[in-house]
Amino acid sequence: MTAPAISIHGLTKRFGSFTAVDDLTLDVEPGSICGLLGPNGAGKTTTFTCLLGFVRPTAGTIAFAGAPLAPATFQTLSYVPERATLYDEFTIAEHLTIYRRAYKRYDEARARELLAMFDLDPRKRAGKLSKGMRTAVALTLAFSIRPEVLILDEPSSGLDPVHQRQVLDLLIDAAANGAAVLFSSHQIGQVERAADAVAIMKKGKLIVSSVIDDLKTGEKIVEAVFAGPLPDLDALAADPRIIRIERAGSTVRAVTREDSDEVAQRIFALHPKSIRTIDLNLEEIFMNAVSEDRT
Amino acid sequence: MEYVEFLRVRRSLSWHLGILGLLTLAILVFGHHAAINIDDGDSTSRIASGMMVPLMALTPVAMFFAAIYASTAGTSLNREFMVRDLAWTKPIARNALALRYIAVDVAAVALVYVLALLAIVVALARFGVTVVPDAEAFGYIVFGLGVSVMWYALVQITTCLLPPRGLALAGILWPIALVDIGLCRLSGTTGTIAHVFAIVNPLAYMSGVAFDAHGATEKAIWQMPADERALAVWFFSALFCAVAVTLWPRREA
Repeated sequence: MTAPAISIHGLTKRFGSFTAVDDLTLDVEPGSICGLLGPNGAGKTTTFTCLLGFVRPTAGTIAFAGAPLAPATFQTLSYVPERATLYDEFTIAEHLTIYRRAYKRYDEARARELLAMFDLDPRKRAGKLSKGMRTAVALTLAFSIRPEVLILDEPSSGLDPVHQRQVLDLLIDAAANGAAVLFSSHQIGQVERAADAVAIMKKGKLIVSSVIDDLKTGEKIVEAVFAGPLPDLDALAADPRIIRIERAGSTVRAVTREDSDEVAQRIFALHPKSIRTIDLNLEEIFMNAVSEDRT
Repeated sequence: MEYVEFLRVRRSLSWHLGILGLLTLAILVFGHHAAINIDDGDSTSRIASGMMVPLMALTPVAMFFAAIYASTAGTSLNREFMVRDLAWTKPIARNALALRYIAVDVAAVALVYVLALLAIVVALARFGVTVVPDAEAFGYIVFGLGVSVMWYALVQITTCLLPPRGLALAGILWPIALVDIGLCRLSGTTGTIAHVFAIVNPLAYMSGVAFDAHGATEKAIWQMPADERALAVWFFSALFCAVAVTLWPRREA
């Protein structure tokens, strides 16, 4: 059995009395994409900075393919921060030269291909680029070394919708070629499209970590439409299998954690006009998770 | 060689050497209208055609040029921390990376120093003054370069852990160093404290050198021969650089 490409165990980072990351344990396997979600201040970026060795964890261990972070790790690891960091005084071409000289796996043809994809002029100075173009340059550099591990903090920040989609395709393509991808995004639709696993953080804690399909199987919505006034739902709300009940006009939506069929039968007993069970999308799973503090 | 720092140094050198070149050119073009007077406080002498100047006497001027360059080059580790997402994700140990930056920077400081010396020789030749490579010249050249490199190292050690605004300290160090030299002339506690600071003040080691072709004078802050001063400034250069190389990788984002 091979070690996970990224293995985080019991990671804790405190700044004084503030705990930014609290006992985080997470594995990302080669060939998989893990979307890291969480509201602002959840600890996502701190997790990344710990992973990259920018800050020292208060506790816990981090390993890449079973080995602790070392300079050689970066031969196969690419990182794209939320605000793309570039040498403002240098041109894009000079950035590529810096990479060519520093990384054994640098692939010139791949870099040129990515420049063309993002419509980047290599003669332009980084300091003159817009936010989206800077992100595109950072992504070009990151993918030019054909990394085995990709860590990306809001990788499509500032990009137009076409390029956002292309970035997701790049992530999917990288994973298909065996790379492990860990990325954060506030655009849950992007995570849903690209990732096969999701980790949700809140206030430094990991509150959900699962394969997305398993999450969708586990949580469902029972939606019932009533003809007349809504029946008394208090008894229903007390059902431990129901996470919450939403009312909108004559429609009642019960978000269930388990046994959705039995919950549907209970609601059916209230004589709705129609009733159906639907899968949750990732956004609803995320909202459920961050609104109820499941640990 | 660290390519990033090479690119940066190439850019900054073009500015500094361009200014040096323009100054030299201006002297060559307009020099016949000017005269050089040297005032050592007690007497004034005039440099005239046919005079011979020992090479060692030029080292303070070249040192000054190189130290100005060192003020900007010495902030390289601080600037590199601001782009740590790129710099610290290179497949190289951070200490080794810092060491490479310093190696490139020191080579650039040395280049500025040597070219400044050459420019002064050329400029003096315009006045008909001959620069003579005296017996002590090599020692003084090494000493003058050591002062420039110590200035670089001092800037590096004081800025490598500072936030971006801390780069202003590289400029503030100049008046601090000059005031310290002035205060060393005082007696009592102030003078003693100034002397303590003068231990790490590169300019203090240069004090007194320009006035006496035979070495240290009673005006010098450190009453030491040139070779001992050279040893001191190179020791502190190495020490400051070593501390910066050790501290910089330990910074936290």
